[in-house]
Amino acid sequence: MSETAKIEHTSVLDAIEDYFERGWTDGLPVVPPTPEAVAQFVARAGRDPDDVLIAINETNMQCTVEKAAINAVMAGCKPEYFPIIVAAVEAWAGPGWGPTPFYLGNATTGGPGQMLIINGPQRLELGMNCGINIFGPGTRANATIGRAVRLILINALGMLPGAFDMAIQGHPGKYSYCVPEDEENSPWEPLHVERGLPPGSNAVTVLGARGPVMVDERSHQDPEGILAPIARMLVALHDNSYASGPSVLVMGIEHARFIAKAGWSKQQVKQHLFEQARAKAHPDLRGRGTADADGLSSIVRSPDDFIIVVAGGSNGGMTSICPIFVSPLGVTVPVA
Amino acid sequence: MTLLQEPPFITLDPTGIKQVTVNSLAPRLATFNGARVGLLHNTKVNARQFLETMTEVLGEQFELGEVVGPVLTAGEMRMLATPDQIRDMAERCDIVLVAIGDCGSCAGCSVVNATELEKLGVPAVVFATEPFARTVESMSRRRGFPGYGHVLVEQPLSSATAADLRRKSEAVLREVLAVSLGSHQN
Repeated sequence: MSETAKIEHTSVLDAIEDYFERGWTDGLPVVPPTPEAVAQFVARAGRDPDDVLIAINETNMQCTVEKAAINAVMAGCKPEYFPIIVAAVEAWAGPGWGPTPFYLGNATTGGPGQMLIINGPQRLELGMNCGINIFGPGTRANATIGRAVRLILINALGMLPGAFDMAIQGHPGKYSYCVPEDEENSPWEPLHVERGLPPGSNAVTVLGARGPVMVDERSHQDPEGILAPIARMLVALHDNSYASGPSVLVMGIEHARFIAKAGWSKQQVKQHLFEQARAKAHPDLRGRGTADADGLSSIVRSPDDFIIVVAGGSNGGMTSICPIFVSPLGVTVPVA
Repeated sequence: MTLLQEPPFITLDPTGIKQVTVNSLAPRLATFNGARVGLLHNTKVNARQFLETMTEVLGEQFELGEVVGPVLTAGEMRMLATPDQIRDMAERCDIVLVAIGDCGSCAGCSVVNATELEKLGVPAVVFATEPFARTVESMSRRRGFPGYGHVLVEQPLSSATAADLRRKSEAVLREVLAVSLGSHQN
């Protein structure tokens, strides 16, 4: 940790203002990262502070365990949140993604944010909100874990808006985009178990996604009726040459329960959407399958291009579509 | 953290900047007359067409040598050239025109491709559209080529007609010569 520059301030407020001046912020005040606080985070990870979690050759920027810890302190995290952040940043660099495609996915004009899907008992232990207002404010762990990865992108990896991050519009999830799955209220297996990790283990899934688009459907109880407007919205969102079909569906509990009550598995939901979300084939449209006699093809190549997680309140029928953009279909890793 | 701590209040730098060596530019051309001109483009709409139009405009001013390409980048996301492509272009060209930077990833990658050619001793000209000036400048610094000369083309390119491409190419001819020919300094 000796190579990291130390900065002197006259007060805490002076430090906060200085970090604004230096551009070391997402636009909100940061918690000043003192050496003592950072050391607690590094100790919690049980890692050498100089371990490189991701290094991007194109930009010659990198994030070590220590730099991740500094940014996690700045985001307002508690030390016990830090293992999720370490696992997420390493997953960006690891098998299934990798530093160069990760850089490209954050430089793009297309504007994805870096989503984290959280699974396992850590959600409850850290007091995460899986329910009402899942994408909204109010819960420290949700807000600050998502914010920490954005600060890592801005500060450690240099993805400054207007320089290396050239999102035409971006979206609010680029402040924080952290979705813990409501495993206790889901009728199906959680995402990390679906992907081969043991039930009861902790995991994080990382991917780049555009902002959530809510599909409000409260007039049906049958799976076909609930899924019809979701399929229509999938088509609407993906019917141009810059879109891609794969998406995360953050399905509200009411939708999930009605669909499961009819005997449908999660895989059947994916298959149904694969079959129903069809649009006119066009040579500029990416990710499409073969066109049928009517010139229509599914907006995705496979049912597994849809990721389904159950989260949000049980107080109404709603599912959000989060289009995946310049990103793999989620990389799921254990959290130590 | 304690709010009552006596000054100085110490905090740590959150940035992950790796030190980079400042590189020298490849020698610039004396003239385009007789020069073997390489065209290296990515998958962005109109990138190839822009380079071909730019070559046509240059060809009206100079007796160009062989035109090599257009070569489509075959590396990551078809934005980066492969090391083999860079080596091949460096062997076969006296100068390489690199296009197009009209998105965040392709602007950055165009600079990566161009600076790899410069390291092998071949001058390269990066074309980006105007809104990506800061991307090109930032990437040039991070590649060890601060102040790297580039050419900014009027936005947009993706929806440009053939006539638009011709007009936009003619408009930047002076800048192309400025960054390509002998007097240019990094």
